[in-house]
Amino acid sequence: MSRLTLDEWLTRLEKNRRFMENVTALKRIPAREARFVDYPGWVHPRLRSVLEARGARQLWSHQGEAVDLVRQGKDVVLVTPTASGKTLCYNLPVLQRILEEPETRALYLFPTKALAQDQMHEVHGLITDLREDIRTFTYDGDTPDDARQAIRRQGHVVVTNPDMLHAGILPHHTKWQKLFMNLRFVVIDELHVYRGVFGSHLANVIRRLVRICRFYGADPVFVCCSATVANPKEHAEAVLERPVELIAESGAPAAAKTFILYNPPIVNRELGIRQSALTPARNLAGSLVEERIQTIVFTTSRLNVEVLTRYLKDRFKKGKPLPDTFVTGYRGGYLPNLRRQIEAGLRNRDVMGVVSTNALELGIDIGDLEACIMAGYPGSVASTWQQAGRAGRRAGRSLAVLIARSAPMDQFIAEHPEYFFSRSPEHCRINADNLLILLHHLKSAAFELPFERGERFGKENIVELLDYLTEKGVLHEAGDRWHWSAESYPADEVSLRSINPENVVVVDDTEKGNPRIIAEVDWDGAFTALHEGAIYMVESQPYQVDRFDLPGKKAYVRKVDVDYYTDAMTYTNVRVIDRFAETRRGSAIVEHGEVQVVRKVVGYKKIKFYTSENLGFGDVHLPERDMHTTGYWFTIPRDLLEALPYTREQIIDGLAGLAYGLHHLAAMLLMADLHDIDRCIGDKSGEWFVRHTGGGRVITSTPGAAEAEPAQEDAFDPTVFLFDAYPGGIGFSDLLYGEHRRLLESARALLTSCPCLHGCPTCVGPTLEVGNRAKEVALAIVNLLLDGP
Amino acid sequence: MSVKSRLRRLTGEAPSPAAPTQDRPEVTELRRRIEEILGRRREPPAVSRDRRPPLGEIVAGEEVETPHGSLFVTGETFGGGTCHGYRRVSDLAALDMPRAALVGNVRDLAVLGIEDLLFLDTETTGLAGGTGTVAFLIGLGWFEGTRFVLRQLFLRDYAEERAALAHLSDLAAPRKALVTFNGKAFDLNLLSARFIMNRLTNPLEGFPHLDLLHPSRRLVGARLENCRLGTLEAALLGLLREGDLPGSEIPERYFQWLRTRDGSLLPDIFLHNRLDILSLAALAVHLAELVLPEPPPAADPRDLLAAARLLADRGDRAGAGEILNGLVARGEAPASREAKAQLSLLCKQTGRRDETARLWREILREDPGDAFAAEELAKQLEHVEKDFHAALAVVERWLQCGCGTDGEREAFFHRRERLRRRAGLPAPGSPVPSGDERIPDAQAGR
Repeated sequence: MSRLTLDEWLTRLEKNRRFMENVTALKRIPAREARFVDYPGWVHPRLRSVLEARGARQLWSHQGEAVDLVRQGKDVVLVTPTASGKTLCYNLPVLQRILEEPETRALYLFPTKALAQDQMHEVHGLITDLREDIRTFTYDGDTPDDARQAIRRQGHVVVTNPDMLHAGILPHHTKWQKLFMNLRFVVIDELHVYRGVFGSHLANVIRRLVRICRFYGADPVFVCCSATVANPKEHAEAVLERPVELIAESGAPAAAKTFILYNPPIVNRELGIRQSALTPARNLAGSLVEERIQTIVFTTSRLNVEVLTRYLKDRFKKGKPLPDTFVTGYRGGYLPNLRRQIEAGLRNRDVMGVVSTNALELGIDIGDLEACIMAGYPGSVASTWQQAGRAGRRAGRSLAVLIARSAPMDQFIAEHPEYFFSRSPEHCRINADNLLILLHHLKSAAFELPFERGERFGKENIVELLDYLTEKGVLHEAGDRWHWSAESYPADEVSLRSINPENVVVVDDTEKGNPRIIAEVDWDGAFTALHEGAIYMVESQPYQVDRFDLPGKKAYVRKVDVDYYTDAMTYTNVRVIDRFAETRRGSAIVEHGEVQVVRKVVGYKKIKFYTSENLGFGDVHLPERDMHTTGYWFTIPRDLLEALPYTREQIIDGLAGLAYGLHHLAAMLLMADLHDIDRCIGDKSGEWFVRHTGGGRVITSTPGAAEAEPAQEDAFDPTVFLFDAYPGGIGFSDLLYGEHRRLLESARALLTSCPCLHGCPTCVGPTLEVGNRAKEVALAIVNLLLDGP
Repeated sequence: MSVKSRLRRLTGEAPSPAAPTQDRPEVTELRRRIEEILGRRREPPAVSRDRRPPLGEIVAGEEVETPHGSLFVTGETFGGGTCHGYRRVSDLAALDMPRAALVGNVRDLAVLGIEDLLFLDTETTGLAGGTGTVAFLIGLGWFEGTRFVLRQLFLRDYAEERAALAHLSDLAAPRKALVTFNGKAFDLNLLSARFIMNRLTNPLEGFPHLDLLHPSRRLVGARLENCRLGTLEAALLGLLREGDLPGSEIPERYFQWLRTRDGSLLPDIFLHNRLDILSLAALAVHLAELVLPEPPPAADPRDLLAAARLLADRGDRAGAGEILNGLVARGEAPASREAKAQLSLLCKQTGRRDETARLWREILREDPGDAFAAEELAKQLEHVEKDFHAALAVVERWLQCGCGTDGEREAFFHRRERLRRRAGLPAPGSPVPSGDERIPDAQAGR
């Protein structure tokens, strides 16, 4: 039986009425013609012929523009789609300069080791063709010690990641003297990845890099590349703290693509519940892979990767035996070897289907896939296009399907496709002067070179911070210079990616006496994924956690054969520490400032595969974690709420529903990731907060304590908190404070236009969680807030 | 005015750099914000001592001026009769340079004189490495005749680093080679970074470098619990440090000095460093003696075996042979058996078959179950002498001892069968005496 091509498969799909009923948009994006320019005259003839031999007979217009600007010593940011030949934009001027001045050095930064490897191979290929003695190396945690010295001295192009620059290179800059003295180019690819905390860290690492370059008399040109975001120039200038030229017009051709927005049918109108996005994802992917159409499925969580991989593996188990990796999962936490194996399998088409988190969103070389299915909105327009771009980088037609979940953002996009297709993607925001982040990098910078009086480092007055560190005993001032004066190695104290650099290793203890490390989980994730009793899945094999050794940072698991997975339940409690501003809007008091957030995992649910039935609950005993961050909140006078015709429980549910909607709308308004902000309902004093238990919502006094006494509950002034999900804050809260009214108005619009009866995941969250009256009460509260009593 | 600065005034503590700015409300505010984020309380201000004696009163030394500023330098000269552990300084001056070169595998050292050596050890603000670690005390030593001269270059503050490095360059100029303990991985790396940070040329670059850590590991490390200098001093040099400041406490002492200027914190560090430097010279002598043709009679046989192995690796078979013969002559088990075995391998390399056979038979006479000797002897008889019967006899005798690992026995059975074949005896599979058959079964059943 012959298999269908993608075109034939699509034709068949478009005739499938049941499927097409739920398609809210089907867009055929036509192929785009290339625009060419000639190579500039200064390009070395041999370099030119090497590039020509690789197919670049001419340059695309944006490449021509970029290489000229870089040649002139301008710092640039290049914003072009996947497969638009952006690496040539920096490789050409860099290699050209090395041919002219062999001492020239260049530093390439990629957000992951895998991308760095890929890029190193590409440069290496060019150099081999050039037949010149030009050396390129990756330098990261995996680089063997004996190779490091050679790389430091001889590497013309050193390819690394910001973490290594931060902890391995800058603090040892004297060993890199040769590189820093001759550093002419710094390339930062995937610039859009560096937003929020990571971006705020990177900006500080760049401050340190520039400082070290200045010491060695170097002044390199910065070349940044970014996926399409709304503010590439502004973002690059925020990271580099210098003016940057923007190149945004792509001259590259693009293959034709069919883009489908699919909104799964409502299965329970009463509760507003739609079919899970995983179901159509499973069916589509299964059918595509059956035809040997290579497919990537993106899901929004690690858990979903495992669940969906299991479903697909089950499906292909039935036919004739296939290699185990015919369909496979892929996510951070898999050990590097396994990941390299899967990447290679994708390139040589041994792997026909892969289910991934956004770990494969970036430019890791996995070849040209034909179809991309996104089970859930990836959280931003930029990510959606990046993920869709993994299918059909060059070849004929490709397919991208975005399947909406019930979440407000997903539903908004599914129901307003024109908005999605016309909308400019998100803004990248960073706050390089986040006090905590700045302080960490000031320490590292002082370790690298003593600070001189009058030196600048960001916008804060650093003399005060240096004095503060002197008081803390880590710096010492002598002769108008602040010297590092502690035994520790400050770069090790902070990870650029999350505030806590610790990892928890997962140890498979199934075979007694032969423990095996099967995965690593970041510290924060460990609390929800590795608590005792949790089911942890790797490659869809379930393991049960027997023991979570918190101080030892190890979780001991054993293989089990179960038909359920677990989902952790957490509570959050917020206490106000400091108010930066306060205003009265209508009947509410609106504020923003610094807050302390306490989180605790209290239990977990067991959820059955396929049916999603709740099989029961388990308790978790883990310490709480606290964090200081910035937040925005508003308080509604108690007497106004009591005047509403609802019970206290209903009002609490209404507030919870309102907070749910506000949280999602805020993320959309800020064009931020949903996880960058978090929400909580409580009391400003931090003494009371609302806790969601297995049986419903209660007001609780202190963590773990019983329900509050009714008399004390009267002192409860309900407050809705939205806060930055990172210690120290990234600056979202004061933006929200300024947008308070718009936020509430959007919430009212959402509540009034949502077609559900009593509330659904699109507006106030699932009714199972917020109760049957939440939508009605939430609307009443918003009206109260906007129109006054 | 803040409480902190008032306290500073009252105690007469040197005004902290923070003092002039810390009264401004926004600074206090900033500090409060940071502290709240960090969730820490303010630490109480360091209690100042009533009297802080000047450094010169506590440590004998002087201020040295350089074009790059001044620093504090101590000087001391140890006469030839001064003792350091078991040895006198004049003994240390007698270091056999070619032997030292051999031990350290630093060929250039052999042609230098003892006065060309610069002994170096630094005390630093940490072990983490990287550009934020400073060598605040640079200890140097060299011989002048039979006397040992010590200089310690001390940074009273970080600002004096340039001067210290410049002075180090001056003192290093007349010397031609370095002796350190773990200096390759640590001290020299660190100093090289410091020279770059101060934009000065590193005078030590290109110096032949005898790093005693590596030969110590090779020659004596295996029998000691670790290879720290203190352990070596106690085990080899007859030096027990009493009340010595542990190296791990040194950085904090220095930070305290920087904060308090309390000179009494420092003598321990200077002493620690001085002993380190002297021990470098003593350790060099001790290690070089181990590879002498006639090593000291008190030397540990295990060290001598290691020394012989090192000489053999460096191509000095004759030297290795002399040490091993000495050990055989001493006749102390188990070293003498090991010496014979090593000696036999040396002879094997040079093709002295009569000698090898003699040694293996000697070993087997003392222990008929020695698998190494039996195997080597059988191999030589079979492959070189072609005397299959004699080889078979060796193999049979060894097997009768009933010892050895399963793998060894397996190999010997295999060898026996081949030898029988070559000797024209019944082939494997033919009836063999039942007594012989039992042995492999008994082994397999274990």
